[in-house]
Amino acid sequence: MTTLNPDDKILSYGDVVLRRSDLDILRSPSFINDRLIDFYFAYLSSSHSSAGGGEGRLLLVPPSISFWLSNCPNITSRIEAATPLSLHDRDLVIFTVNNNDDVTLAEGGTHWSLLVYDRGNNVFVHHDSCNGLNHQHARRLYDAVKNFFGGDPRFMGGQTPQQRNGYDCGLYVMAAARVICDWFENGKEGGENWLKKLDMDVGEEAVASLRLEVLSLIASLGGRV
Amino acid sequence: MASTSSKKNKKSNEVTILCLKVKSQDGEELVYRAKPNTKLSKLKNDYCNRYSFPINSIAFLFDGRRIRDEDTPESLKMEDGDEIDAMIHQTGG
Repeated sequence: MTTLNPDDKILSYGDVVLRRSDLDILRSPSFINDRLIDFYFAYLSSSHSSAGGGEGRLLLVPPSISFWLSNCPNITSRIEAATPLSLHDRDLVIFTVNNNDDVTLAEGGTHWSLLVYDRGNNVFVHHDSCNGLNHQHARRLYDAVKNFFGGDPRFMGGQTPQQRNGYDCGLYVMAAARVICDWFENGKEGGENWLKKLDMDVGEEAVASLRLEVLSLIASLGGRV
Repeated sequence: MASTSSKKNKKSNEVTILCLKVKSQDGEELVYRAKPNTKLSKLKNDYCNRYSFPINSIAFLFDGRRIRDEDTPESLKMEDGDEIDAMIHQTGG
C-alpha cells in the first residue's frame, strides 16, 4: 500500500472529509475546490459563537448547498434544500457562487465569489475578486433564495479587493468570509457594513499566506498533513 | 452496537428495505433499495461508477446536510421514499 494515495483521508471535520489531494491544492497555486471552502466555513462556524452550531444568527452555507440552491431542477427541491437552513431566522448569511454551468461536469467551474445576505441593510452584497465575472451567477443564486428571507431584499455589487492572478479566487472568498464573520461577531465593528474592514484586511499579502494558514489549521485539528 | 432497536416489531422480524431516490441536478432520478444499516457510501460509490464520475467527485446531500461516508439510513432517520440530492464538486480560481 502506498502512503501517498491522493484519496487518503487526512481529516474528518464535521461533515467534511479532507483528502491528500486537497492538501496538494493548498501547497501549489491551484484552484481551490468546494471541499476546502466547506472545511474553512465549518471552522469559521465553530469559531464564531453567533454561528452557534448552525442555529445562530450567522450562517455560512456550505458551497455544495449554495450550488444546489442555485441549480436544483425545480422549486420543490429548492424548498426542501432551503427549509433546514431556517433562512428566515438569520441576520447574516454567507453563500458561495460558482460559475459552473454544466451540472453534470464534476470538478467543474473556474471562478468563486461570495454572496452575503445582510438583514440589517436588507440587501444581498456580491463580492467578486475578479471584476464581476460571476455577476450573472450571483444574480441567479439571489433570485433562487431571496424569497426565503422575507422583506424583499435587494441585490448590489460590493467593492471587493481584486486578485492579481488566475488561481486565488477561492482564497479571497475564504478571507472575505472571515472578515465579514468577525465584523458581525464583534457587533458590526466599525460601521453599518463590512466594506471598510474588507478593504483593509483582505489583500494580496493576506491571501498569499492563507494557503499555509489553512494547512497549519488542518494540522492543528489533527490532520495528518 | 447499541442501536435503539424498534420496540414494537409488529409483523415478524423481516428486515425493512427502504427505497431511496438519488436525484441529480439535472433532475434525473435513480432509485436504490437499501437496508436501514447500509452505509450510504455504498450507494454513492455505485452512483459514481454508474455515471463514470471519479469517486469523491460527488457529494450526497440530505435535508440540507452533507452525508458522511459512515452515515446510514438509520442514523439519518430516513424514511421510505426519501430523496438524496447528488451534487458534483466545484472548483475555481
